[in-house]
Amino acid sequence: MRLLTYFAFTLLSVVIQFCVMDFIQEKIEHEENAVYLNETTKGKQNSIGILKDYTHNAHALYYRLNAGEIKNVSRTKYSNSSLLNYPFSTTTEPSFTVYDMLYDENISVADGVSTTETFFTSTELDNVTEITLFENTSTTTKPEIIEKKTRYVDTLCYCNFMYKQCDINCCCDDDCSEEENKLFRRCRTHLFVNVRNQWPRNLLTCGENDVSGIFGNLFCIAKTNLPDKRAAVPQKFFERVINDTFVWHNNNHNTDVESYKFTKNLYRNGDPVWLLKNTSIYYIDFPAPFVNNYCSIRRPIKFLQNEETQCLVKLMELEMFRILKTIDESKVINIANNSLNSTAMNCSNLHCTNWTVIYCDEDDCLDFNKTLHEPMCTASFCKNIAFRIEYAFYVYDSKIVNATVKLFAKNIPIAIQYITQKISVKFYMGNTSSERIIKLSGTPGYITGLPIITSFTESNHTNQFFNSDHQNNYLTYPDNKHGLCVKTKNTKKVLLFGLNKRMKCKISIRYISSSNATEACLNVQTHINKMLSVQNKVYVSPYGNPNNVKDDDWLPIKLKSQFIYGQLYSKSSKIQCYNLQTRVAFIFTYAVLSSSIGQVENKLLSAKVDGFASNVTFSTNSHELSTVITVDINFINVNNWMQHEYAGPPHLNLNLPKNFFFPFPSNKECHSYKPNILFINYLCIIALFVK
Amino acid sequence: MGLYRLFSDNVEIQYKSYFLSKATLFTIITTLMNVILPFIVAYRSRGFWLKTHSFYEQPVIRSTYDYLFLAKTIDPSHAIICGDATGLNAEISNSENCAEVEIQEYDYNADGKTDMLHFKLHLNVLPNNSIISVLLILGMDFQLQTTCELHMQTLGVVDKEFSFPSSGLYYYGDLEFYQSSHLPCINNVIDTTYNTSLLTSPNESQKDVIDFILENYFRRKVTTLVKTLFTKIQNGYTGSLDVNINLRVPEMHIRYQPSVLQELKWAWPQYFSLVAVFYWLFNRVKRFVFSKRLLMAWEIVPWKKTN
Repeated sequence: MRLLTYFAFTLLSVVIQFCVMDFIQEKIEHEENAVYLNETTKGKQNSIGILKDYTHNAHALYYRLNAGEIKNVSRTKYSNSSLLNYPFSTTTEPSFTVYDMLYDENISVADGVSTTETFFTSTELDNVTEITLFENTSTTTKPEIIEKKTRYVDTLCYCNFMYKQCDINCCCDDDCSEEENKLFRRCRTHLFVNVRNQWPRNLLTCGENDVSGIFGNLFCIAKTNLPDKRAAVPQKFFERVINDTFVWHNNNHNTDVESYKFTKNLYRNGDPVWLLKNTSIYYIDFPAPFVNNYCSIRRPIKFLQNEETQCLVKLMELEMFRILKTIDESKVINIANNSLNSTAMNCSNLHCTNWTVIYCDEDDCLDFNKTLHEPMCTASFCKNIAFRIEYAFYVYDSKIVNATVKLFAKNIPIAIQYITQKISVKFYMGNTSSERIIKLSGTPGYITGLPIITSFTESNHTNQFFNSDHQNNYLTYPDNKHGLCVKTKNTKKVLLFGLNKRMKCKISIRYISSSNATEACLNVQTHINKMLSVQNKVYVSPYGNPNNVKDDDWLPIKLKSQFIYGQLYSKSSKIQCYNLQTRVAFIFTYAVLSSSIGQVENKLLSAKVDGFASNVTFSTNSHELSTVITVDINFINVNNWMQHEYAGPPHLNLNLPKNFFFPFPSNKECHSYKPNILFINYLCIIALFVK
Repeated sequence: MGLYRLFSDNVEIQYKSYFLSKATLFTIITTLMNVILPFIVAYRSRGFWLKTHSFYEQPVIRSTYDYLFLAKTIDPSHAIICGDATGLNAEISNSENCAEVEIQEYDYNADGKTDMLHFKLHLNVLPNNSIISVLLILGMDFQLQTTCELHMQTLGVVDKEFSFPSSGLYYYGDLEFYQSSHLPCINNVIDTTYNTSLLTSPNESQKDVIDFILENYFRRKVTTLVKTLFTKIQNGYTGSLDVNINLRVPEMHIRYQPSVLQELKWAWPQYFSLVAVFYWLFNRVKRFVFSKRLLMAWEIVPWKKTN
């Protein structure tokens, strides 16, 4: 029995602790209210009613503090009995009234008792008397003040939108008669969404008056750890705010644009390249994209700064027209030492360099001939349209001794609205033509994006590379021009290190009807092999710089030949070629020489070319045998990923005896008996401790 | 000089009784309650058994060099198809218009995992065939190597529509791991359920090849999505279309079903912490009951002689 009594008491205390405490607290608060609101019981009810409505508008935890404040405010403020008489029984929505009072600084109410609350800053007692007037609650209502009350109520009625006309479901509309109010199913009791400080509804059901459920407010958090924001106190004028506040920017960026002024100095790195036109001097520039890949801005060509750009342009705005005009009118000028003191601006004082213009078509490059190479359009296409422009400036002794412009032209259909033009600017030190300069692909390991160095001779590859025309030093494959394979001097693709690519294009070979099918098929294969530079054995340099690379180290590549034969189907005018290698795959394996990231040098370990045989059917009706060929390029890195090294643990310089953790001595002779004795000793010690 | 308590030990007082007695029954009941009640409390407070768990991992993603690229023009008879879907090669015409394709994998931090995949395509566009949309289906090999070992073939699908003739598409996106259910995650077993090629379409299939591939992929519980970060389109017809697609491989969030041991490991501390409290509580009750002689038992005190 005693035990049960103990349990019962414990349970009771727990219940008191957790369940009844809230109730007690509420009671106390209500009693406190009662003390303050002693004079008007109605007022107290109204105050609670306010909070009831208030809590029905669900609010976040943060606002519960304010709810308490509201209670306090009403408690202290309404010591003046007349103030408490909200027109609840008439047409005013109480929560709106309080809400608006609390959050609208324009409305002033009396603060009869001096409190710490700062929501109410003024003491307009007139308004206080206005709110007091209710027929049902106050026996001292004066009829003449009703108008004032009504006016006040009107200002707070958020559903009265029609002047002198009853708004449906708007119970606070004075224009509505009592009969009309009775017709309304539901009075609007909430503010509109766009009214300020409106918090979402039904987020939290905890509230003083919410006693639904068994536990009521047991699990409601009454306080939060948020700071008690009771009032916003305006701070003093703080000048730093002006600098810290973001404002609209000044869009006038003229000051940012680089302005260049010709000075009589030797060229320095970054100076624009100056041109002389009659007596005026200006710098040469090139088009560049700005936002949408269209050539919309121009940038100066700067001394010793290589550039490469690509942008879209309309046919009429092609850069080549501007270049041809510039070349006709102007010359590149250099300041020589003897011209520094001269004031005259002409070629006698300044060192002038004439332009060299080279016109390149797909096959070859020639000196530009205006009559032959002038761009022109017919109804269907335009010819001699330069889509690629290469500036080459040769510099010697801070002077541009040669200025060359290469125009790579092609014919384009008139239907094409925009042309992608590529412009490159390159400076070379010395007077050696860029074609004769031997370009390495690494130092010595290959660098990604640079061509694979190849030798087409049987031996002496390194010498061949440094002494021959560099055009033949690279592995090339055809370019795709409107779907067709094109491999000429100026139109071809170079096999670049590290880029995994697949290229497709269509080859077309004239079919000679006199030849038999197998010959035709072999002819097609020969043509493909020639296009892919694999008709003979080729050697690939393992390094991007083949200097000091022995012949044996060069990696051979050879396409295995297949047994190709053909069959003619004269009835259907078709030729079937068997084992035709239309797809060729170059597979290179490489390893990273240097371990440091950022300075990677790659060595080719192996290279091979695989042909994939397939049976292809050609139609002989068009007297052309055409098929699509594929070139696959794959680079495989055989390195494992980097092994990251971590800092080792701190090293303690302790010289422990060798058998410190190992009781068995290294002497094998004693191995038979000594360990057993030691082991038994250990066991004995452990047993002693345990006991 | 004062004395300090350095060590203390309890004297054990034993209470003994017959097996068939109220005291024994009381002890059995309290012991059982001590075992069962913590379990009930822990279980009823939810989250006792670990149902789901997740981890973050950057997967090993490699391109399989399989792809299918479809460029639709206004005229449906002139769609441009590039790619390697099995059963498709025979049907592709005008494949020479897929002038050049480049696929690059970038490992920026040299940890053996691809950090970005770059797909580049140069396409010849015939006059009067302006492209209105492009669709790329890129085959990838996907491996998770840490907690839940998984090896599967997956796709990166990029779709973009053009409202005007365009000459370039620059696409930047992230690969995302999307699972419709938890991974089973069995220890020391590599899940290869989905390690089958996706870019295959049986020749005899009556369906559209792309529909077939996408439907097949859609049925999977584990897929990868491509989340667009930003795109840029280069407008103006130039007779070609350059497609540049950059896909980053970020750390991915992977959900899995925990193993039994992991569930036990999770449940044990919850249970044990409650057992300790209940053990203390029941000990107090037992001490009260036996010391106050509420139940009949013989008290054996070590310093008193027993009969």
